Amino acid sequence: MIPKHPSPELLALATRLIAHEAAQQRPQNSPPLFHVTEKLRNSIARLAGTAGFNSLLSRSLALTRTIVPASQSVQIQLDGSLHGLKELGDRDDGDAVGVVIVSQFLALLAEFIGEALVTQVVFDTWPGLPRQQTAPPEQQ
Amino acid sequence: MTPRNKVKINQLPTGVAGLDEIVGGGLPEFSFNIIAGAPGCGKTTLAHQIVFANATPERPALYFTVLGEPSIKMLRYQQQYSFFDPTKLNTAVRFINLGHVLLGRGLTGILEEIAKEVEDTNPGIVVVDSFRTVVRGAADEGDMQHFVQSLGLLLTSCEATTFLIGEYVEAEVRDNPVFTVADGLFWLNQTVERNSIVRKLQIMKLRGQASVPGLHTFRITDNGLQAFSRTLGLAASPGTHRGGAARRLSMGNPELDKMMGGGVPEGDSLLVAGSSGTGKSLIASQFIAAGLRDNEPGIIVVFEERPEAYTARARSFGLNLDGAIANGSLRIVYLRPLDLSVDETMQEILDAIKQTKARRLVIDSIAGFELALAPGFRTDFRESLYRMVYALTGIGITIVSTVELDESFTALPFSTYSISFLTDDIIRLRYAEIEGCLCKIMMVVKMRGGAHSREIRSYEITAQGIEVRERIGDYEHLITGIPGRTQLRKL
Repeated sequence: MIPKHPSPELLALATRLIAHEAAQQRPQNSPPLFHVTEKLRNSIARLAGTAGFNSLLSRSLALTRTIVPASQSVQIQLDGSLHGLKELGDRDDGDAVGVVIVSQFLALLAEFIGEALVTQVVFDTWPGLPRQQTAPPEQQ
Repeated sequence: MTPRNKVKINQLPTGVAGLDEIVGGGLPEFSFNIIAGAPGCGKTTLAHQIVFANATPERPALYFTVLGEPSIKMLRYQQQYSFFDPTKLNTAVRFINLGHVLLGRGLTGILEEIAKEVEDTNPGIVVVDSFRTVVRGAADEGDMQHFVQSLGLLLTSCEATTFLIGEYVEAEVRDNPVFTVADGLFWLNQTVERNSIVRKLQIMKLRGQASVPGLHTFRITDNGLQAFSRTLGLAASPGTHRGGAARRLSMGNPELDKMMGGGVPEGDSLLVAGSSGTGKSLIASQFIAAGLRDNEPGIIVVFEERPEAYTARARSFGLNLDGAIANGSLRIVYLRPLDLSVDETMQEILDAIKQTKARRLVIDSIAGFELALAPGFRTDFRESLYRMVYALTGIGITIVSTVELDESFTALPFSTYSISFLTDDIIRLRYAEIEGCLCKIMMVVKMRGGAHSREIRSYEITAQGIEVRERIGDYEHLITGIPGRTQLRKL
């Protein structure tokens, strides 16, 4: 299984999504990856159904495991939500792994509907996310 | 009810080239429609074109998918079309998957979800794709009938124009309540004949307005569907050349003009028939060149020869068509994809006529035309050709068609296609053996518009074109191709 090579733009977008959710004040200390995938789940499931979202996220997790074996603890549940994020949150590079998972997801989606539509879906889901251009970080 | 107090039904654009004319001007607003047909015939693409042509952020289009083609894949393929505007996604055009709703909550759940979305977004267009999978979820026919009526009522009262997409076969139309409720029924089908795909659409039903009946060809290109009306809007055009004496147009050859009683009447269809090498294309080129000299733009439709070869050959006879092509007064339309319909060909010709304001048209040749058609259209060739000629001459275009004939030395056929009934005038060219030489002879066989010469004239093809010579008076049985000297018989 060969992981996706997200474009610099999608990688930057994934990084910003994780950073954006990490910056939100929340009573519970849930990892930003959880909030990113939950918001994506709502918008993608509306478009492609829960089963459609689940299959894309499952594939993204499988691809991520080939890059970051430690992400194995993260599992997808029937309703499309993620389980096993606590173990990931305990790691120092937890957010970085989250970026890989999200970037794999976005790259996989882009293979089907193109980067332009993916970007549009993301900004529709996070209307408050600034459309600034950021220098892409190095691939994890 | 007087026209004054009749309700006005607004019409929405279909977004499909040619389809507005077929449906009678546009889609009736607030109508409840079904787009039906076999898989792969373009139902979803048609719905997308309607959606993108009409959706606005204020009155968006809701596109519900239910256990049919996954939305992700649908978006993947549909964005390849030029009409797909990604900036409208999630604002003016919203895709909503209801597959899980159908599985979990059945028809009631579907109705509730659609009602909720419609209430939230105030859509102008609603599409349910595939509706067939929805109604399969019905426990019985009564259940389904109730669902369809409730859906129709809901969407109509919310002022939405609705399209239900379903894979149906024609036999299902008779006793399916869905079709009874629908205001409009768009039927798409495609057949594969030999190596060609023939796609046709039919407006089987459309309440409130007159659509063009019959099967209309359509094609799917990078721009989506393009429909070709059987009439192309010309059926109702009054003939311009039948009343009174028509102006005579020069054929570009004074002697031939004389034989024809002054030239070809404007708006006539003239057939030039003859075997290979008798100069049919040359007569056609001279006809076009004569028009260009009189500032009458023209169109030449060629099937057997590339435009460059056609103009080069005309040049060798002193006819310079290149200048007219450059200044836009002449267009050579080259059609040879081998899977055309007559309607598509006619659309090409009409487009060219609009662009050049052409008054003269050459079809060279009818045999090539037939060969360029998909096999499925060849069976209707005569009928289609009749429609085309009738429509074009109806708007005053003068047509010269050529047809190649196998030379017979016992008979004088005018056309192997039995199409002489659709021509007003016929010129016959043929070979005849005279004194050990193969000579060319011509005759004007028919001029519907009036008197013409009954002479059989010899002619030569020279560097200046066709040179019509004297009447051949000393021979009889010329039209058989093997004449005998008249004087010899007398002796």
